[in-house]
Amino acid sequence: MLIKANKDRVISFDGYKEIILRSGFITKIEKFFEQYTERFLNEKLPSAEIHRANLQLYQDRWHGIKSNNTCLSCLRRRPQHKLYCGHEICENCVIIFGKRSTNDPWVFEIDECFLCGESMVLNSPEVQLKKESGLEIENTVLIIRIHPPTAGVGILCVDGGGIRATAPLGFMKRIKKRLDLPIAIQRFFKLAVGVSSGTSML
Amino acid sequence: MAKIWSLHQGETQNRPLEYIYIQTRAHSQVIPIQIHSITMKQCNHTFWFGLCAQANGTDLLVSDRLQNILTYIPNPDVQTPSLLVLIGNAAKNIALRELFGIKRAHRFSIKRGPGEMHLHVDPSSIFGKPLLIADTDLSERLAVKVSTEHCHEISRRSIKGIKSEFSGRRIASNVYARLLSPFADVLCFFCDDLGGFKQVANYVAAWLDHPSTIPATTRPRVVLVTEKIPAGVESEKKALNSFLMLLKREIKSEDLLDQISSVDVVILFPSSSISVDARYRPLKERLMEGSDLIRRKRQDLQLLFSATHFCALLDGICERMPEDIMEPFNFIKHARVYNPVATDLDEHILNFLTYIQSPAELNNFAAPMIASSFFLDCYPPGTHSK
Repeated sequence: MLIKANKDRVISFDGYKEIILRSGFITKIEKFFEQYTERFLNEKLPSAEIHRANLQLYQDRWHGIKSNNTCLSCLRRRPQHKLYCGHEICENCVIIFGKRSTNDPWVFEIDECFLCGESMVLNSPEVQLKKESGLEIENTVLIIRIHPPTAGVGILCVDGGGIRATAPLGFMKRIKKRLDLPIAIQRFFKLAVGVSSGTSML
Repeated sequence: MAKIWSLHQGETQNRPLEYIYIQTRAHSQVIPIQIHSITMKQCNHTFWFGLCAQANGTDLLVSDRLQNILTYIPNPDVQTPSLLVLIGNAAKNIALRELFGIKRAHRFSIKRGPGEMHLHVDPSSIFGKPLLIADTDLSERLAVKVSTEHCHEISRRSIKGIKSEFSGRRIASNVYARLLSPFADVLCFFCDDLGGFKQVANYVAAWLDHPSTIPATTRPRVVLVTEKIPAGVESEKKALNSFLMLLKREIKSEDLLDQISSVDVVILFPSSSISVDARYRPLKERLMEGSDLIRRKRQDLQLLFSATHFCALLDGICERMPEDIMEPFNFIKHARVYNPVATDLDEHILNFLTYIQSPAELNNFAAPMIASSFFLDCYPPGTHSK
């Protein structure tokens, strides 16, 4: 019954000019979909695991394919996060495939690209820089912080005015003190804008 | 001799529970009693849903009876309930008591409006395959006023698209069929209460013959009960044949004609000749057999719903019903209400397909990838409690 829903969606790509008939292609997708659903129901594998295995199966093909309009991992959202290998992924895929940090439930660690499998440890420019200079490495993997869904949307706006821009700094300090939470004040805001010297405060 | 001592809110296993502390005078002992258990004991209303005639249409009233029952089921995500629907009047009431031990006292203490659907549960079955039993009398007229008690939450929706010339029974058949036919395993009609085979054929047609997005093979089985005909295998066969003739006249759609084979006639022995147990045993056996058969069919088609899905889908049907009674309920669309298909999905797919160079790549890489992404989209992590 899910296949029916699929069909509706696939019909929408008309502009394809291959020799393969569209109907044949759709049947093929349906067949694969059925196969995955059967695996899901019979082997009791989580859907994310099945998809991850499928992505890994075609690891070598993903190297040449990069898009900044479509998250290639889920093929339904716009990407938001760029990995070191050049692949861009959406927030939802980070939540599904990333490793949840033990310290913060909304921080996700990504040790390799879901698509091409490239390791996020070696490629990190910061890590390499630190390695070269002999510094201790704190984060060995790529970290993506996600705005918690219950956090709401906060916008911080700071006016300018030369030296007077120190006043907002004072306010923010007071707010932080009143909140008395172990969260940095920056993390309460999704968007922060400033005018003139206010910009430098941010 | 006890007096209520205090009302205290306690906490057990991180779940707030309210207790009443009762102090007995003799021993000055304090006994805590959970408020939850007190209220549940007092409320034995079984009202599930009913129809109410209004000046400009018909209202559907739905109580939270099903949700209440499901709270007793230990694993609602895994357990798949069976629903039997019993339709009739006096004969049905006796059968209900004899078959499933639904207490006499329960029924008579409650005022029942005409045409109401009541829901019971077989308490012995809640740990395995929960057996739900719904019963209604399909009365000729619709209730004008449904008594609403305060212990139950009842929602009211007015239904559009009902023809005013239909009788109360016909309207109720249409509405209840829409609500219950995806879930009910067996419909049991007590013919002697409902005015003979000819009338029953009319109702059965209304129950089975309505537009639906799920295959006709999963329509509930029908069991007809009568005691007016002398019992015996031969006369049951005869009665079935004559009923099928009547039913064929009523049903219009072609593919449903194959479905008619799932009708069963059970003739009860006269009440004085044998013991009550022996009298109702064949009926119970047929009901359970029919239920097992239809469950197997649904299992094969992935249409056997768990208790959680049952509840959610029924809610969905109730919600959609007021808009248009004639439009079939789309299960897939309802399942995706909170996880809608991306509006720019075609754009994204096209984006992906521009990278595909050869037909081989299209078949061996694009097709499985698109299928896999749809699959993840349809079953987001956490679906089906995995």
